[in-house]
Amino acid sequence: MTRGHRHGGDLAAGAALADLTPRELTRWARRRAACPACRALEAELDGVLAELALAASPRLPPPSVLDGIRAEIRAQAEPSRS
Amino acid sequence: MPGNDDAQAQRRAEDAALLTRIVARDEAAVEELYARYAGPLYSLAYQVTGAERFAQDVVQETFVAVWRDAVRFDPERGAVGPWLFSLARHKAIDLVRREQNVRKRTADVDLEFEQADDDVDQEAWLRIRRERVRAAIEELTPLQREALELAFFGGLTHVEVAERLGIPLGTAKTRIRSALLRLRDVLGDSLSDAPGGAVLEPGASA
Repeated sequence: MTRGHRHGGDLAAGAALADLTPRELTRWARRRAACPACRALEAELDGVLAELALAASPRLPPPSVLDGIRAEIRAQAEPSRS
Repeated sequence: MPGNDDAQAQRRAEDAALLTRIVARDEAAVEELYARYAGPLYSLAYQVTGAERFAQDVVQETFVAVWRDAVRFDPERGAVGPWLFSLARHKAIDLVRREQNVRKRTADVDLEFEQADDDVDQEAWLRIRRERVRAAIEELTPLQREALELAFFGGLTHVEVAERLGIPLGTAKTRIRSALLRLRDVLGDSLSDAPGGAVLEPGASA
């Protein structure tokens, strides 16, 4: 692994965790545009984070959460219907 | 396991179909998506924020955002599941960063994973994948695990992880990166929620 690719791994990890400085973000955007392997790595790390989320101790939200969602969605839908 | 892969592929296709219905303003599709993901999203939000009230806000905001922004979801870039978890995690971290006292509490909590009660853990796919990812986490070194958990569940930035552990920023970055790459290698083929398009891109295997 070259030094550049190793650093690419840092950038990809930072991108996946949404923790890049504006400068790093610019560098990462340039790199991923030019590098299919970087895009593949980013996609893989997104998948890793989605699995990692499932490790959390399982809990269920109270029914009031769904009620709140329904109410907000209806409120957003109203203006376009009238 | 081919059976598992088929089941995951089917779930993914069903999720994508729900998103299409949401784009078409079908409110029932939001409720179906909620039935699938509210539990794991709430669990993640609770683990990050450490408070029921905040976890509830995160889940509500996530589904309202899905309703509002479903049209922006790009299936070429990934599956619906990772998108939802990413939305919820970012909302949870934003909330933690706004609430300094909650943040402190979370950062002080030792991130122990608990077993589920049977009535909470009703979905087989979820149980299987939780056990699998927890086993993969066990494969990390204690230093990798600590850094990754602070970054992912604690919502700390790389800089904050370094400060908290009293290590150089470069070391923190290395631990987090190597932890993620190790998980990718251990989880391997079972990362079927990972976006297929990018992985299959020509030249990606080089």
